[in-house]
Amino acid sequence: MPDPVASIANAIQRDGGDGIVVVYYPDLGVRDWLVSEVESIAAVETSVRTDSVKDARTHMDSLVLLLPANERAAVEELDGARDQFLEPKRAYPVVLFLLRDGDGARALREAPSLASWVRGSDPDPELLAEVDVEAERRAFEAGAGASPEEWLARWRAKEIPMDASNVVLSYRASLLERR
Amino acid sequence: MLPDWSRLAPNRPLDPGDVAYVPRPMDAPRIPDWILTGRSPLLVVGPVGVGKSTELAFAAQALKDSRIACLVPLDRFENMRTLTAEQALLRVAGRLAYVAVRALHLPITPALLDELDMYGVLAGGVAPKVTGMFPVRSERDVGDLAILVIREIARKSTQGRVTLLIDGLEKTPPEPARLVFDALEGLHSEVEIVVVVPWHAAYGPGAETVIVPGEKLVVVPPVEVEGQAGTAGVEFFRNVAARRLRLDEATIAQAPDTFGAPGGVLDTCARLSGGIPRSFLQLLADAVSYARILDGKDWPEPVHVAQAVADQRESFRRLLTPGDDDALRSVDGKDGRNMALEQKLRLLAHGVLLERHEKGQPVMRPHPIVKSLL
Repeated sequence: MPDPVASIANAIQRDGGDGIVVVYYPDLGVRDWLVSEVESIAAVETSVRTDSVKDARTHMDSLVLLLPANERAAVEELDGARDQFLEPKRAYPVVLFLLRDGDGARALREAPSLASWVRGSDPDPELLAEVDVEAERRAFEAGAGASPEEWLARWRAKEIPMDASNVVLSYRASLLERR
Repeated sequence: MLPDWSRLAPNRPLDPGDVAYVPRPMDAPRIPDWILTGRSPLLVVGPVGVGKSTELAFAAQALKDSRIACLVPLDRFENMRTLTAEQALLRVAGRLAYVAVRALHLPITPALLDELDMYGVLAGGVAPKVTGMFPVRSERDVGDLAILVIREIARKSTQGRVTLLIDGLEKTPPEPARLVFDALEGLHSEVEIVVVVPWHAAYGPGAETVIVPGEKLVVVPPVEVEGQAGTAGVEFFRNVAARRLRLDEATIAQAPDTFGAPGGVLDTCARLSGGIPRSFLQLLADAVSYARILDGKDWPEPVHVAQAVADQRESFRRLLTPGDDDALRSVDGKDGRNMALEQKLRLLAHGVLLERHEKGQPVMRPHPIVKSLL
């Protein structure tokens, strides 16, 4: 499986509450799906969806999914107010969703402070669309000892422990599941 | 016992006096040396993540016995993109008063505290509880307010002088930054000032209005990690990891051979960081995270560093605009004089391009991870 799968989990976990994560999306339909996936990968008790940077700062104990309409303004505000997210210490990161090659992504090129924080924590999961699904299914079965559907059935029945490694595996399986 | 990897905290600068501080391997004078020899104002510049905030915190600690050394992290309070000169002065005054009351237990005139409290720049618990005797003067010039605070603290302290270490202005765009520097100019005769400035203020058009004759520009450079000259730099990063993680001998003994051995995980992260501490910590934290997620391992191995590097490479790739590749190839090993100024400032600010000193001369080098993209 290509790196973006684990990259999402890694981006969320790497800096813990000190982190700001950027997830790129190609269109709004995929964005909505990615928001749900990020929530499930993070496996946190509470997550909050908001379009406001100021509001994002107030939810210290939640994973914040930041979905601004004006992505440039959000990037600029995060660039200028980045360090205010350090105190009080947060439990989980803020995940900012940006349109691939959009205005927010361009703004990030002019926002060195924010870009420095998110370096290595800004996956573009749509790259997954480029994978060879059949080859990946075979690789999954070889590694997990079950097809994605069989493995997911056990996972959903809570027969598989919920640790970081299995959370990522569940994400891989859900991407490869025949629907 | 396993390390608490969350202590790597790549985005969190150290506080003054933090035992995790590791002195940078350098022969040049440090910020406290310049201040102690009477050089003020001191303007500090460097790429993102190089450790400017940590150096300011170290300076505040080193200077505290001889003066009131007050660290003012403006970026912890204000949006630095929209900062005004008035907000900057108020934050300086508020922070100084807070430190004076809370840490130094100096008796500050209640009317002064009232005024600061009115502006909302006094941290909780410092404003006097009983007010009314001293009318609040909202019409006072904020520059005067800052001077009143500085003079009162200097007079009441045993040290008798104040040094402000102002952090965060590197994030401020050129126009508002210029107004803030003009406002801080008004404090020069009252205090010693160390202030972090943006690249555009140091090297861009109009830099002469920020850096006037007599002011000292201190560059915090990337740590040298390449070749023989980089041996001390790599050792510095090994110490940074050990101090942040509080690694003792027993813990290190549990690590796989590939972690701390020459050319192992720590050394690879150090060399691929380009000498930028935040990059080093990000690579190591990334590798740790991948070790757990992909293989359920407690210690990162070289394969996990490779994954971390791949992520950083993608991040850097997104920062590049058309023409950057050719420009980076052309400037590699040169002093950068012939590079378009706007492009150079942007690439320096992002740490895509690093200014090094080789054989006593400034030399531009692309970040090692960027180099793999060219």
